[in-house]
Amino acid sequence: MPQGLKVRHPTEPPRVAEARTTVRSRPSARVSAVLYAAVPLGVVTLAATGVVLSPGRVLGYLPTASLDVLYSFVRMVAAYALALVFALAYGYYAAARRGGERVMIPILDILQSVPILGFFPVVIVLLVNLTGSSGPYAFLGPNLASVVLIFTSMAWNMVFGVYESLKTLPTELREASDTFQLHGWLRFRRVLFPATINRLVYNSVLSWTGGWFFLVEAEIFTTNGRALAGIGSFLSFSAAKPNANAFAAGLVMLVLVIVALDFLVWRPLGRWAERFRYDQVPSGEGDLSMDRDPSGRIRRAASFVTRGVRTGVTRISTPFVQLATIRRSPTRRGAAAVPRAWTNYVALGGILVLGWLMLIAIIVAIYQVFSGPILPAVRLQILQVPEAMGASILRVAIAYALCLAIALPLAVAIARSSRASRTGLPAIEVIASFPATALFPVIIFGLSRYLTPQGVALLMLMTGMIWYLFFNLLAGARSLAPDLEEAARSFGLRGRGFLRRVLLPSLFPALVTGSVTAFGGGWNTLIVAEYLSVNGVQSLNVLGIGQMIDIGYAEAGGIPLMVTALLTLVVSVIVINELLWKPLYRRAVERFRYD
Amino acid sequence: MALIRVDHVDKSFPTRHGSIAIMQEITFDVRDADFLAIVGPSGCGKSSLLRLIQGLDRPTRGTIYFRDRPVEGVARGMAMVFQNFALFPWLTINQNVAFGLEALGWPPEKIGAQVERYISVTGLEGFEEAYPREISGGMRQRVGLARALAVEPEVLLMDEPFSALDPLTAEGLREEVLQLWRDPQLPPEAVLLVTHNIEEAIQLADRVVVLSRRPGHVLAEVVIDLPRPRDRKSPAFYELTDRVYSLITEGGTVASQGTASNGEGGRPG
Amino acid sequence: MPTVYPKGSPTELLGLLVLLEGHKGSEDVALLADDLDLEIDEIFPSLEFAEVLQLVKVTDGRATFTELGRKLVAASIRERKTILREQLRKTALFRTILRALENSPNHRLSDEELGHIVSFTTARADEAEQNIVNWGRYADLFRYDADEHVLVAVRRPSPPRSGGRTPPPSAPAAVAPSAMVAERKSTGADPPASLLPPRARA
Repeated sequence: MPQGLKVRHPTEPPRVAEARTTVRSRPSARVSAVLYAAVPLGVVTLAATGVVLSPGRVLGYLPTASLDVLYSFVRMVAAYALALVFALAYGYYAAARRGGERVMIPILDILQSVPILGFFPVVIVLLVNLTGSSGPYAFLGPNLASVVLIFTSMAWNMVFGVYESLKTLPTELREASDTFQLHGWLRFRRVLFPATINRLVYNSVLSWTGGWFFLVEAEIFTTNGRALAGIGSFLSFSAAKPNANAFAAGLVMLVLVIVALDFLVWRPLGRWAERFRYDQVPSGEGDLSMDRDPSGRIRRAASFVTRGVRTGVTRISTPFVQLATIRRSPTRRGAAAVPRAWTNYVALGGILVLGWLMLIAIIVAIYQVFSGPILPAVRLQILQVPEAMGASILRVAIAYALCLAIALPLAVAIARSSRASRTGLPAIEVIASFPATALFPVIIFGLSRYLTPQGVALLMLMTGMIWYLFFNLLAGARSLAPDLEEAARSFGLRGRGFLRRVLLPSLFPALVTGSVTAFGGGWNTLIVAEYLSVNGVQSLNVLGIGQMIDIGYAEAGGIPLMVTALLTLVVSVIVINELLWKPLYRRAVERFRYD
Repeated sequence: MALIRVDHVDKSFPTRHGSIAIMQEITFDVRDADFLAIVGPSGCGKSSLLRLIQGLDRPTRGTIYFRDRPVEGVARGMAMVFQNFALFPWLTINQNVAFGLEALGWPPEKIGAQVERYISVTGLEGFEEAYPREISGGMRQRVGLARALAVEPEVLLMDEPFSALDPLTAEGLREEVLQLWRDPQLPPEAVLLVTHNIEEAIQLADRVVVLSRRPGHVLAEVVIDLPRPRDRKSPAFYELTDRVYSLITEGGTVASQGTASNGEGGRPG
Repeated sequence: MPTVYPKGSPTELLGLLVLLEGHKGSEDVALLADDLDLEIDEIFPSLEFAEVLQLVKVTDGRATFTELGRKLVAASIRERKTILREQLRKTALFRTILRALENSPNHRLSDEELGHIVSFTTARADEAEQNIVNWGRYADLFRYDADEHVLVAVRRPSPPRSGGRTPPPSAPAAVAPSAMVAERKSTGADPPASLLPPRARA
């Protein structure tokens, strides 16, 4: 020991200790989280139906419920298998082919920024026409349609996972494969495929969460007409009766399946996939312990809840009109200096509106040629579409404001208290992985006694929107750069000043991302939030674009109405994305990002 | 005979506002049994030069010859050690070292034996089944070294191999690289080291090619004939360091002077 | 008395020795650090551990090679590994770990069990654990399964030659328990195999 030389070990940062306890207390936290999740669900069910459950009768309904969950699960597996193959092929070609990228990625951007659910009725109608509405293959139509829908909710996310993993593969790794001349199959097996695994597994979890959401919603939707056997329709029918015991049994089965999948499939798979991470291989000491970063978990939860509806805005902040002319690199996305001439927006708006009108005219014309004249009632409803769209936009905006008022203080409060986040987070994670749509029947049939139809619609919209906001804000608040916080503290900035000068500005990017995804969730939720009739009994009916689509689907001769309403929704969403969210998102990236 | 000849090579990259010249008129040889270092300030294109030599990229003008054959596409017989190690995180240390051999299509038994040998000479036993993220930086760069040596290259290309390591680790690894270099049983026949660290270049290399600031051109070729191991505190070492340093600083300000001193690349004072 | 667990990595330690050799084998610690533009506390962990491994002696702020240290610098990459293995075996910490490894039912030791051993020595348990694993693997004293987070004993058929004052385990690995007893007897002066704080013996 050298004398006169004293080296004090830096005091152990408290963060490390916290991380360790989080890791070690994990299993019990999981279990309690499931309990946390079950309790509010039960309370909602009880309160909504006003019926006391009898455990024996709930048990009695379990077999039926589990059979329906099985149907739903098979649809999920089929859709996932399709999505996986599609993602690998599409992502690989988009990343590998130079020309491919320019065309394939913008196409995806557009596809994923439109509300997927809006297309569901159209797909059903098309497929039912193919398979026949009665006869031996009749069951195929709705089933295929729901698989297609779930596929679309799963695929984009995974394609981007593959594409971005391949594009962000560090240059040195790419060069290493080049210098050692690894080509063809060996290159795919040793380098390219492994490079995608981590993101693919991770995004698969998101895709399944999103998939459940849409599956349940699709099955509820079909109770408007041709019913699709599955957990969603089970819940819908039992809430309509009302049969609280059956409903509870359905919820129990759904929770069981989701939790079982999580424990038996996704967690082991996720641990295995850690090996394939290449983003942060720090130089210096070897890192034996991964996954000890609690704030990383929140970020994960945030994108977890982002589900399949992450809209194109967060992927790419460039107006579509310019996409064809610039080459973008995914690593510097958003930072690319893009001329923002207002003429571009005018041009875009013009093209969209013209296209919208023309498409509607064409569809109406085709319909009139093949199926005869449009019924007068339908014609009247078509003229109502713009008004309905306005009502829906207003509804989504109000729901958004209410969500923000709840989510912002809550997220900040939880993020600032380490105790709250330790105990609350695992619970919230589990709740977030539960498809909110499963609660819609309860809201519609249970709460309609206490709320006006407008209130019910608003409440459902909020259920479909709030998580996006909450998790993104939470992640943003938690990831506040420590040196910024230190700087603020060293200058004595506290309380309101800290909130105004430090916390809120640093939350801005998270707020924009959260808002974009919340709106995306809102558009998708509209389809079941404005109209529902089960077994011919109308339960919910408020003016809105979702209502128009639904009526068009359910009504005889309503196809032109359905298509017109859908087109209107798509165009409105694209316009709002282009005019509102993309500029905001760009600004968030440029000005508020702190690296 | 020159193993590698870099012959009047220019490289420029197109940008939106015309092209930017990275290097101009680069000419030098790498001979058999040569430990050649290329030093220069950051942005002088040293690393790009290494990539041109390996064939990962093509020069805008001029030719690079490897054993008198122009390099077109990735050349066999050279292997690269990367600044940030470039290890595949999903492959074990063994698999990472086997990487190049698999690409060469060796049969598995032969690969196994070869990997074992190079794991052993680089001191990596015990880490065979580890994954890169489990091991320290010094060990990671040993893997990079073992992977490159395992394909038994004629020329070993090293791109700032020590600059991602902490100073002590770098010091330790430099010593072991020299030890491997001195071993006649082991490849390669020549080493081409790119570094921004003048002392490192003088400590390791037989000759140092000094590049100017961008656009990089050869300021001088300095022969280092100090006996190894080299004492960094000796007057001769100090003098050489000083000379290279002043070449770079002066060459940067008065660009034309650089090429004039090109022929002077003879003995150190 | 410093408590001892490995600091720095093997390559870092070697770097320190190479640096010291450049100073003719003996130098003021501050000047040594200065040579690489480092602060003293940046070379200090490695220096401290080099001292524990009896490669360097530090007196009055001056580091000097021991005989073994000089030998290690002159040795080949492979010989260095052997020397370090022998020296590591002599440290109380590694002896405790190896013993615990032998005693555990399937010759495995989880991260947490290792943590129990380490937590007696220092507050910075994570880093200590990593360094222990890194050194133990390097010296081939045990393996590590990163998926399971366990140390796994290495069965070595031939007992290594004795390098210092600790007699090596003399029995072949197959009769590990008795080998344990033999070692415990012969090293009576050392703390027993219970998880006492391993101490450096200066």
